[in-house]
Amino acid sequence: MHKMKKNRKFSGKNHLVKNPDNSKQFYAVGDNNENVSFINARRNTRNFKEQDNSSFGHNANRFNKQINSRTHNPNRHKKDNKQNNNRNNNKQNQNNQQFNFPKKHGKFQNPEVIKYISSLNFKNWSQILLAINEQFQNVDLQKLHAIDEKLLDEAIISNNKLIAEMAVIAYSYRKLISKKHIFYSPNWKKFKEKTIIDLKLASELSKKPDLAEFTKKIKEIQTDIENTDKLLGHFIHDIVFNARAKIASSAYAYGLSLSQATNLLSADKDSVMAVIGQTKIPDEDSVIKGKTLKEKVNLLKEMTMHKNVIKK
Amino acid sequence: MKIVFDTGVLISFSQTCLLPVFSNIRDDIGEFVITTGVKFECIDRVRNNMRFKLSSLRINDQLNEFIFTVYKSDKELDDMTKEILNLTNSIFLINGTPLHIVDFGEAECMALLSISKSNCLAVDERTTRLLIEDPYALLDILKRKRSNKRIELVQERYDKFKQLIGNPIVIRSVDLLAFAYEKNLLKGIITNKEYLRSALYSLKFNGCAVSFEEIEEYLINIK
Repeated sequence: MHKMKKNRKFSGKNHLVKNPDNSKQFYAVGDNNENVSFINARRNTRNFKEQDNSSFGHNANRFNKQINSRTHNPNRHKKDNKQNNNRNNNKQNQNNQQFNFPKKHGKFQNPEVIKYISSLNFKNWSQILLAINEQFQNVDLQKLHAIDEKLLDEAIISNNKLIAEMAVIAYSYRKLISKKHIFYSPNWKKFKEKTIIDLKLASELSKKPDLAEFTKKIKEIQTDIENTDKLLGHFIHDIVFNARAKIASSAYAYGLSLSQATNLLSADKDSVMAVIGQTKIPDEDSVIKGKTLKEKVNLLKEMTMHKNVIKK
Repeated sequence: MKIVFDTGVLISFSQTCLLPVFSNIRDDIGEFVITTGVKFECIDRVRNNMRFKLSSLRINDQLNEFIFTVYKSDKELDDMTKEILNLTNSIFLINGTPLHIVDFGEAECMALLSISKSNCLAVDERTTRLLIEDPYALLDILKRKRSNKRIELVQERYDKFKQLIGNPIVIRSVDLLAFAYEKNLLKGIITNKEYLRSALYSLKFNGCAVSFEEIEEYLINIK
C-alpha cells in the first residue's frame, strides 16, 4: 500500500499560473525553492501529492491516474464511490452492532440513554430538573441531549411553554459544557456551583401549586446562562437565543406551524426561518407528492389571465 | 386577484433584498393584503432588535408605498380566527389528545382568506400549506417523527375547516418569484436564468419550504 511521505510541503515550482488574459503563463514562485502560499495560484493538473491528508493516502496513485487521465471515466468513479460508501456503511453498521445500539426514529441511540430516559417521569418536573442537574454535574452530553429532546416532545403534545423553557435550559447547559473555552475557564466553577443550587431550588419550587415563583426561577437560570455566555463565549448572540431558534426549528420539523413553533419557544421568526433554511427539512419532504413549482406558476398564470380578461 | 400574505413570505423577500419585486408584480396580480397580526410580527415586534431591524424597516417602506393593504382587525375576523384555531388544533389527535399545530398568526391569515373571499394564500412554511392542500401528507410527517404514538386525523373536523376556507391556492415565495420571471415582470432585477436560480436558492436558504430537486426540475425548462 502506498504511504504518503510525512511533512511533504507544497512546492510552488511545480505550479503553472495562468494570467487572466491568457497572454503569458508563469510559475507561482521564482528561482528559489521556498514554499509559498497558493491562495491565488491555479494549478495545471491536480495532484494528490498536494494534499497532505493521510485519510486519502492509500488512494493517492489511483486519484492522480483518474483525475489527470484523458480517459477519465465518471461512471467508473461513481462505481468506486459506491463501493467506498458501502464499505463505510458496513463499517458503521459493524460499529453499531458492536455497541448494540438500537435504531429509534432513524437514529442509533445508546441503550443506556434509552433506559435512563424511560426511567424518568416527564410529568414530574421536579424529577426532570434534578435529572438535568445530575447530568450537568456528570458532564453527560448524551443524556442531556436526550432529556431536551424528550422535553420538547412533551412541550409539543401538551402545548406547555414552561416545559419548552426547561428544554431550552437543558439544551443550553449541553452547549455550555461542550465548549472547552467556557468549561476550562476559571469562572466556570462559580457558575457550576450556582447552577447546582438554582436547579435544586427550581426543583423544589416546581412542587408548589402556584408556579409564579418557579417561572421566575427558570427565567433567572436562563439569565445566568446568558450572562455566563456573554462573559466567556465568542459569539454575539447568546446560547439561549440560539437554543430557542434551534429547538423551534425541531418543533417545526415535528409538524408544528412556524408561528406555533416560535410561540412555544418564544423565538424570533426571522432566526427560526434562517435555521430552517439551513436544514434538510424541505428536502426530506420532497417525497410528498404535491403541486410542483411549475404547476403553481401555471396556476398563477391562469388566474391572472382570467383577471386580465375581466378587466378588458 | 387578491393574495393574503403570511409573515414568512415577507421575511424571506426582505432578507433576500427582493422586496422591490412586489411593486412590479402587484399591478399584474391585483391586491396584496396582510393582517394586523402579520404587520405586528414582521415590523413592530422586531423593531428593537438590531439584527432584524433592517428587515422590518424595508417591509414598513412597502406598507408606506401602499404595496400592501393592512386589513384592520374587527369582530368578524376575530371570531373567524377563533373558530379556525379551534378546528385546526383539533384535527390531529395524539393518543387521543388534540395536537396544537397552528397558532394565531396563520389562523388569522386563513380567517382573512375566508372573510375577504380571496382565493390565494402566500405562505412559506410547510404545515399551513399541507393542512390546506394535503392533510394526509402532514399526518405522515407527524407519524414519521413519532412512530411510537397513535396519531389520527379527524376527517369530520377537517371537512368543517375546508368548508370555512374553501379551496384556495397556496403559494410560496419561490412560486411568486418564478411567476414574475416568466411574465417578464422583473426587468432590471432578475435578468437571466442564473440570477433566477440564485434568487430561488436564496429564498430556500432563508426558510422557504422548497427542495433542491424541485428548483432544479423547474429550471430545466426555463430559458
